[in-house]
Amino acid sequence: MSAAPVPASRTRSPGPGTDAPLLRVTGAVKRFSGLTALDGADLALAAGEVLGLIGPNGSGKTTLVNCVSGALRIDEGEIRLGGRDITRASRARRAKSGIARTFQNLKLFGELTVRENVLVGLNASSGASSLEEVEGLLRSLRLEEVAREIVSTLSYGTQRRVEIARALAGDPRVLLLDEPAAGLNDGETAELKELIHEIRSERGCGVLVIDHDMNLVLGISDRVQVLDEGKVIYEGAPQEAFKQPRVVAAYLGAE
Amino acid sequence: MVRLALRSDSPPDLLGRLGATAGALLAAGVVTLLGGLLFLAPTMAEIVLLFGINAILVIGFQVFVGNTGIVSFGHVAFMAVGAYAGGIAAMPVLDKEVVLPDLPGALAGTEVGFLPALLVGGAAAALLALLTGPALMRLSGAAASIATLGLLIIVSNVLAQATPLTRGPQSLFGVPENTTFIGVYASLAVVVALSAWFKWSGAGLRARAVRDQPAAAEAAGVSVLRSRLWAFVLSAFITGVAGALYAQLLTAFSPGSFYIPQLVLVIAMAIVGGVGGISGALLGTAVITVINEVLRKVESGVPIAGVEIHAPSGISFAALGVALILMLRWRPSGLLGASEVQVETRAPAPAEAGPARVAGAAVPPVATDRPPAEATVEE
Repeated sequence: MSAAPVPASRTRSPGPGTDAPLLRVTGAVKRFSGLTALDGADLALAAGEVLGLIGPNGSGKTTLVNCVSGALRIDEGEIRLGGRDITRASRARRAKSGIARTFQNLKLFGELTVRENVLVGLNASSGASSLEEVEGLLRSLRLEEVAREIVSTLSYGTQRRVEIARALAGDPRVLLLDEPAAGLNDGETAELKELIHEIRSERGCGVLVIDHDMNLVLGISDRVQVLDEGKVIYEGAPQEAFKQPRVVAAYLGAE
Repeated sequence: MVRLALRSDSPPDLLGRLGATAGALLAAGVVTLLGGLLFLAPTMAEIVLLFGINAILVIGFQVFVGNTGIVSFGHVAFMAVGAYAGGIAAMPVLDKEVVLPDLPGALAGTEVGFLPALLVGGAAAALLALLTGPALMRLSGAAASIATLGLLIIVSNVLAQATPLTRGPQSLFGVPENTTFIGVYASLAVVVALSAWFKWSGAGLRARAVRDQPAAAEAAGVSVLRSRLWAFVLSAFITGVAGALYAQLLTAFSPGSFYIPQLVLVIAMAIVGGVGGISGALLGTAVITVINEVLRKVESGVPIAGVEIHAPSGISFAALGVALILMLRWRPSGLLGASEVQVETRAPAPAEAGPARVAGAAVPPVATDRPPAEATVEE
């Protein structure tokens, strides 16, 4: 990652109940015609915290992210952001209240330029971020040189950075990264690690990371949460996670 | 340094936006100049005027289809509404008593000039879009296209049955012949500037973001419905203005004048030129108009080497179909694609990163290198 820091966001007052987590999901249940993807999952994310969400394939990680971002509605349970109930809020409304995300499969505005992609992200901001910040983001994510390029013509690693820049442009309080390292080479993954640290320390964002790269997730997370069949089976320190028999069993399929 | 460029990416700043708008106007200016020269030939006058109106129509279509990615089969309905609303507004009160004796009082007692009639036509069409858009714009892809076709069918039938207002399926006549060369091409310039400005505005950007990735646009706080609706309403306004111009050129028309054949014509022009851009809309209109007029001449018979050659009638319309198929096979994004004529005030940085370029990477951007303010302010 380049030396230029990620532009610092405005400082936010933690709001009422400072010790309450920024994002709290309680008892989330999501069913897809017979299949229960989330079965009473909880999640708490504090400002300035990196939470790793791991679990075997099909354990409900992406479903949980989709429910938080508003792409899906939970059938039961509650989602609160900064103390406000957003369980029924629309996707656009949640974006405006400070939830930004990236996608497991890149979802960029393919026919638009890099700068335009990031500008659309600015749309989610509550008005405090400025156009100068977009330029700052382009610089710090090394996208300045390609700012006028049509995004679909760029390499995969660059596109990943554009997606993160777009998510950051809205100056989010919560950043959901769904497999941000997928398809990246080792060098790019190292960059990503550093970037997530910067985002956390300089923006005070709560960051939720899903990834299959355990080195990445265990290396950057302050805390991890393990999902299996829609339930949280472990929550705590990253280095302790794979010492839990339940977690090992979930990954290896042992009884 | 000022130079012309043909590019599909967005202008980076306010100056660039002005340049892009100026470029689109320049393209319209070239078209106007050619039209003006042809207009001097008496047999070409009506063709030149129809060409200008078709160009406005295709740009109206392009504003919606290009920015939202939804192919509309319904825009001819906006043209019809614009033609009837503008035509009735412009009709002299005395003529209304004869042609439309059952017209409601307020409408029967007023007549307006050329320009207000255009605005009435545009506003009526925009209102229809504003009323139907909230339902139609929830749909995407083929479902949205078919739904707009439904709108055309409904509007066409309502016009054919609303006898007190429209004389039903019979021709409405007595509309004053107000449409002039200046009227058409001044409207074209305004419409081109309006649609270029919209394309590069924050609202245009949001519409194009939704076009490319609705889910990601929503995740960035963009309302899919609202961003599509603005493009729909603006494009309906432009199309309605074209209808009002058309009404005041032909002076007599019926609901049948605004149906599938007209729709095919608009779609062919837009697809041949490239539905992604305003420059393409102008080029496509020109190409199809020329093909159409040449073949129509051949249909009515041309002497070649002393022998009168008659092409089978209907060949001009069949040629539209052939042009469409060939384009979609060989150049599906149209002749120009999403490229626009843009006026650039300085040469873009060379692709090869010279020493100056590398050094420049760490330097903050120059003061003008700032995206348009509109992208953030509203919503």
